[in-house]
Amino acid sequence: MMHCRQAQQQLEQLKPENEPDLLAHLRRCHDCREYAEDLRVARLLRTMPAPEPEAGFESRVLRTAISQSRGVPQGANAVGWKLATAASLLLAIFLALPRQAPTPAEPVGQLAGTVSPGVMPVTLALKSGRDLAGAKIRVVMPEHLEVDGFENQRDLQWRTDLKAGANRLTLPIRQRNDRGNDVILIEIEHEGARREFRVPVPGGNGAVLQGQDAQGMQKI
Amino acid sequence: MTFLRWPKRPEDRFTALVRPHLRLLHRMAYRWTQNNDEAEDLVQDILTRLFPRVDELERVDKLGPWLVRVLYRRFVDLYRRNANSPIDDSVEPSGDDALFDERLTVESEQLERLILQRELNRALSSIDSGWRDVVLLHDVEGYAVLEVAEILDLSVGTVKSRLHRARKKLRLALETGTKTVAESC
Ligand SMILES: [Zn+2]
Repeated sequence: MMHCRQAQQQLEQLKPENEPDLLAHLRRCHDCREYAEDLRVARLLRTMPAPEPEAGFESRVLRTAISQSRGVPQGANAVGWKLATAASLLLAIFLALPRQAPTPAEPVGQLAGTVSPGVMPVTLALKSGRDLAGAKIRVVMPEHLEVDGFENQRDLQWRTDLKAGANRLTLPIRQRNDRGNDVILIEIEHEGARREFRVPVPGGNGAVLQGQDAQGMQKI
Repeated sequence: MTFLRWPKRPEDRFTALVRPHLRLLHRMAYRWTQNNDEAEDLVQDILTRLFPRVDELERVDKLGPWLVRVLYRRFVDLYRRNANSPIDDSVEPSGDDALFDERLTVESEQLERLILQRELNRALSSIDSGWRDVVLLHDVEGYAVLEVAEILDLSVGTVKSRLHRARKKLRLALETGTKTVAESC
């Protein structure tokens, strides 16, 4: 004599109707008939078809979404850090500007392949006395410059590991207009300690971004 | 000399995050709208709204169910007039027979199952949307009760009771539906 437990186990397997014992059980057991019906509906629901999206769906929706969002100016999301004591940090910063103006002929650092025309790579060297794992870097661009790929976003923040010694950071910088003799603000935060660097960037009409080599060093 | 990692462009981060879930979103959007074009529009709509929130997306633990929840809420906003009580809505997707009819001609070996599924799809569109939402996520898509509760913003008890009642109705509809089919053939 088959029990409900066995009957339901058999029902969960495929083609249970071939089992005479099971059929006999179902004929006299209301609960297992109910269970069998539920299973039948569940199986049908589980295999309910849905059409494939139209060809190119993924690229299309992503491209449209990104370009539509870009049309909307995004509010600056400055977090507003409080000044923190940063005695434990010993960092130096260099600003190396390319000699030639906007022709990024050779790939620069991590940016190989992503540099677009009109973009000038500006290299900063961050010197750290020790390893700083998970340091937070913040770059605030002056009004007349922007980082390529981050239009509408003057305040960039991310986390990375700084190694003891020189850490090279290349910013793909694009000039928005001719004005301004400004500074790029760089902040490094590590375990609550924070340092701020103001890197002077000569403004003007392109000529000012040329001809300076490893200038603007600030010892902190 | 250490080369510092430069942050990825927001569009690349966004694409890497959401692309693996796009087909799932499309399928869910289809299940709710019962229309392929509207499904794409709905997915498009939420992506446009989500792109500026890429930082937030990166912090989400299980992005798939999170996105389905966002999609569901947007669907309710756009398609259901009375968003706060999904039980009494006036705008309903109708069961899309076209998909089944198309397949009925192609996959004749699965004829019986397709006929039943078409009936089931009709039955689904006839039940209260609050019940249907639960069935679509749990029985059709295979989400756990707890996940369904989170996506739909319901208690686990409500999900269970809706499931129970919905299945009863579906079974009933299916029994009537198959009878109709049998007679008409
Ligand atoms: Zn039994």
